[in-house]
Amino acid sequence: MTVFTSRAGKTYWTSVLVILVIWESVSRGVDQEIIIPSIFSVSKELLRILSGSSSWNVIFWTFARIIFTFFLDLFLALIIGIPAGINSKFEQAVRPLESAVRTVPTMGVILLSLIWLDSELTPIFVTSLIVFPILYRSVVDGIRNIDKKLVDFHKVHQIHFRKQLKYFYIPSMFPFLKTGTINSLGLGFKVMITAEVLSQPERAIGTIFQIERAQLNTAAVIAWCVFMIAVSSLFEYLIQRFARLKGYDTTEKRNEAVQTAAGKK
Amino acid sequence: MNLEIKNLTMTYPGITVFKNLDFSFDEGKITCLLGPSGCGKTTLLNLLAGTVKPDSGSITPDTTGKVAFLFQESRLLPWMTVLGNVTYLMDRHMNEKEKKDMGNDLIRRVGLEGFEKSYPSELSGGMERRVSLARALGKNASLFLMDEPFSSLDDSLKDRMTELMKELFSRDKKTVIHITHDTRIAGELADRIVYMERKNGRTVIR
Repeated sequence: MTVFTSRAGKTYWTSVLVILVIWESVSRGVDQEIIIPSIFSVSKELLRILSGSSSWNVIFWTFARIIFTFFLDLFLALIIGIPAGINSKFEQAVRPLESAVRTVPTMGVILLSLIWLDSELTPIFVTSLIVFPILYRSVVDGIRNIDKKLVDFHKVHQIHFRKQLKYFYIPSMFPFLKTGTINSLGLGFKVMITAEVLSQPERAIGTIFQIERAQLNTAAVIAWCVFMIAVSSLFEYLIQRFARLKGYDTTEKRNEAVQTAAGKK
Repeated sequence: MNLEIKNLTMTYPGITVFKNLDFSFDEGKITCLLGPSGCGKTTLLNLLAGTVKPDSGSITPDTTGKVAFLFQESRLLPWMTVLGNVTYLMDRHMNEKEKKDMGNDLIRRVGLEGFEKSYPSELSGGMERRVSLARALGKNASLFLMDEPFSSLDDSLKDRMTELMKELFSRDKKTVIHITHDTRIAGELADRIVYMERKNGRTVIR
């Protein structure tokens, strides 16, 4: 288990331990569970969440919304980002829309969508507006950074476009898409739950957050936060693993090659 | 069937590269193109590869898509293993086993046995060139175009690559057109040496 025994792993887990010690110390100092609950109370709530079937029902629906929104935005980002990456005039034409979507205040969008849409669609619409510009920019930058010499290689050898897409364009864009995916999912989780808290869909983690807050169950609110942090980290880990498994993550290999070349000199 | 260029004219804005050019490349032979920089050697290869269209004239038979091109750099896909790169240009109608068997055979022929699962970044410059050569051979093309593929290698590596190419291409009777600035390599490799030069505002071949 290198995550526990490696140097970086040890530093990471020491840092986690320090945070837990500070948390428990502050909790004991304040001595009011309603303001800063103890680690024990939060752990108890976390166990309650994980063992209750109704919790998994809301978790499922929130995740379904996040996954649906992510793939919808990824699809739109590819449809608009690929031509924008290739053609700078098209990119200029899309830029005002991108700037508007990127800079619009999240709360403003939530309030407007509460007026325009029903409570089920509001979180999807709001998250979509936040996630899209990140993925779109990843696709545009990914296309711009594709090795032009490899593009010529494919042109000369008349390789079928579907094959080029699978073995050349997507792997070329992958480092950018990976960063975009990690950033957009991280932000997507936060925005989705914020929008759910305000729009109150029938089955949603955000709705449960609001209920727990109304009942002044601070330990449960923190337990849900801990759960979301764990899930978000798990997603990030899975994306990194996928990149390595497919051989798309060439950063390490490039670094090794640079070091080897430097050694040769 | 020889590769025939007939009455070919090719211009770029402000410059005529070829004007009414007639030339023939022998089938199954290695032809080396020599000539100063800027005389149109790479343009000629691009015309033969079909990536650049002439203003007029013809090249027969049509070689578009039937060409294997070796560039100055190896141009390997960094996220693919040696075997993945070597099988990349193979006929898409071949099944995976056929591709793998042929790929392993080509890797053995270029002397890289044992490196099938290595990535390009784990190889030396010479090994990368051998992978790109194996990849080109895997395409089973009728015409091999080479734009100074070994120009950045040191002399001993150039000699080894030249020897390897000669062995592989002569055995399979491939039509090869090879640009080089190195007369020594041209002498060792070529069945025919052709000189290109600029004369009276256009490029001539002799």
